[in-house]
Amino acid sequence: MTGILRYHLLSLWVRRAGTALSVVSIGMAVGVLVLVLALRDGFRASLATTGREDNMVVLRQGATSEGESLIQRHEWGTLRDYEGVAVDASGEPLATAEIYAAMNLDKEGGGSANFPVRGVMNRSFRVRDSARITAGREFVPGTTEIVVGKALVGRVKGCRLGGALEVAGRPWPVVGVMDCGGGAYDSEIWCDVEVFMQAFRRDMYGTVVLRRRDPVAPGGEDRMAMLLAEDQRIKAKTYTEPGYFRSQTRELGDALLWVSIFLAGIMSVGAAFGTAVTMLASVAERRREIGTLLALGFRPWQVVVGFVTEALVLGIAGGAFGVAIAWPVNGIATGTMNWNTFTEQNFAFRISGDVVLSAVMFSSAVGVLAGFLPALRASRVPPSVALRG
Amino acid sequence: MLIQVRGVVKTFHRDAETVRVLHGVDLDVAAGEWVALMGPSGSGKTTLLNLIGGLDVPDAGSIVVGGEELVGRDGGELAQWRARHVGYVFQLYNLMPVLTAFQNVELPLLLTPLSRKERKDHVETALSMVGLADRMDHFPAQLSGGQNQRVAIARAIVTDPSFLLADEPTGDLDRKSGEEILQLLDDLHRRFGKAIVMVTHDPHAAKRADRLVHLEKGVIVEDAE
Repeated sequence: MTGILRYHLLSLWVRRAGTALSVVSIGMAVGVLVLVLALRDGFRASLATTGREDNMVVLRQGATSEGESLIQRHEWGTLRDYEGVAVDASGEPLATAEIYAAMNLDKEGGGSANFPVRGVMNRSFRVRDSARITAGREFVPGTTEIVVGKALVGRVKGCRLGGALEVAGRPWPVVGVMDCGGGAYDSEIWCDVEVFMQAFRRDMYGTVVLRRRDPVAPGGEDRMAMLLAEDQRIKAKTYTEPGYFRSQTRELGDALLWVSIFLAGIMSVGAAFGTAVTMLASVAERRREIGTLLALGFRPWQVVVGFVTEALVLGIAGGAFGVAIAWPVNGIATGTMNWNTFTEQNFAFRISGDVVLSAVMFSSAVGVLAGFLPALRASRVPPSVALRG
Repeated sequence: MLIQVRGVVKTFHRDAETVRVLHGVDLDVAAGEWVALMGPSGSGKTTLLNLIGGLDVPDAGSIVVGGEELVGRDGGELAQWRARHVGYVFQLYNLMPVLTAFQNVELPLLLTPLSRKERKDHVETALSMVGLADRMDHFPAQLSGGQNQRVAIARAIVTDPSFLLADEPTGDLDRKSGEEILQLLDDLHRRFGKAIVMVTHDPHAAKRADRLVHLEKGVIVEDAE
């Protein structure tokens, strides 16, 4: 079959104007698909890669995010000393109580948006250690000093080392910049939890994070989570740290997936029609050649396979073109509203291997669907008629 | 008898019009015989050739080739039969413009179980027989009309078919090239005993054949040695 494939592939090259047109039209649809999928994957990756698997995030039962959760001080005391919580070298539990809220801040370049502010204990830097101070220092407990995520620098007014944010009528100085490698904390502002609670008149924490002493074996039972679920003193809901952030990507991630399917679907109909027209023209132009193949003994199904292969090649090339035109956005930072927390989440477009594979599979399907009808038409012409051209 | 055509009727429909092209034609072609089909345009020569080659099916009658009845076979079976038994030579050569002479001649061999090496040997032999061993890598656009028809003949004989069907093989060529093609067909006929059924308008070409069959309005009006 390789010899006859050579004929079909060379035919694409000989008719390169039509081939290029089909590749571009499929490529445009694929480009849109890649952009939206890269947006979704970038958003998901920024959250889902945040944190450590051996950190347990504890929320109030019924709460779906940190912002909705309430944990009382005595519950925090119980949780901190819970069986199975790791301790540091000085014997202090690796546990922290926090509060999470959205704060409306002015963006550089105009406009404002809600940004996540996390009231934390200094111990949080040891427990949530995926966030590292890369410039400046940690805040001093009991003060209004703040540390900002690196993604906010240059995006939010005052978010830079030495700058200040206007909070509750007072300037809160920025004393540090943290980096968690593209994760969620890069978009957060951290300050002292007690100062935060005073400033915003809160008296309860929202989240407790516990470092496990004993890791959970893959597929094994999570004894600590089971104990917590049955503990009548605390109505708790637990996640792993990355698991919590994954749960926060669901709504926007799903919405972006549907948007990509919708947009790419509409554009792919146009691309498929364009490809089908090109293929039909090619079939009409090559009628005598098709007749010759049939006269030589090639069967109609072999003609179908040949033309569908041509369409498949157009689809794959279109997919590659689409990925290529979308590629420059890979790694570009942007921000969007997280529909779970209603805060701005910064992340980078991410064209992963999965996105490329999805794009090429999609474009191949468009090519094959577009090419099937012309291929069938080519094979159904009686050879004696096709030979007349 | 290699080919036995009995009572073949063929009708074409164009819009509301029905045109009967062959009216119960009988024709026998012996193994190793060269038959020229002549007649005015529309007399049914090419239709008869297509029916003998299994490119089309008659409305009535019987076509037996090498003891095998063609009527009643489906498209796939006829394609398989053509690949094994028929070598075609067309007026306009019908070469694939994107393939070289070698690749064009190799095409029918792609339907056989031959290895790549065996296919190469067969193609080189066929191209040598038509005197184009040195033009294997040329594309049709780089060859003259006569050379293209030689490539087409090499393609027709490369599978060693039972017989050749030639539809106006010299119709698109100048006198000299046409003469060379006829000489080549004559060689194949004499050296290898290939039966040839050739449609032609050219009385000079028809003289090369062993037998001349003249059609008019879908019936054979003359059948002479």
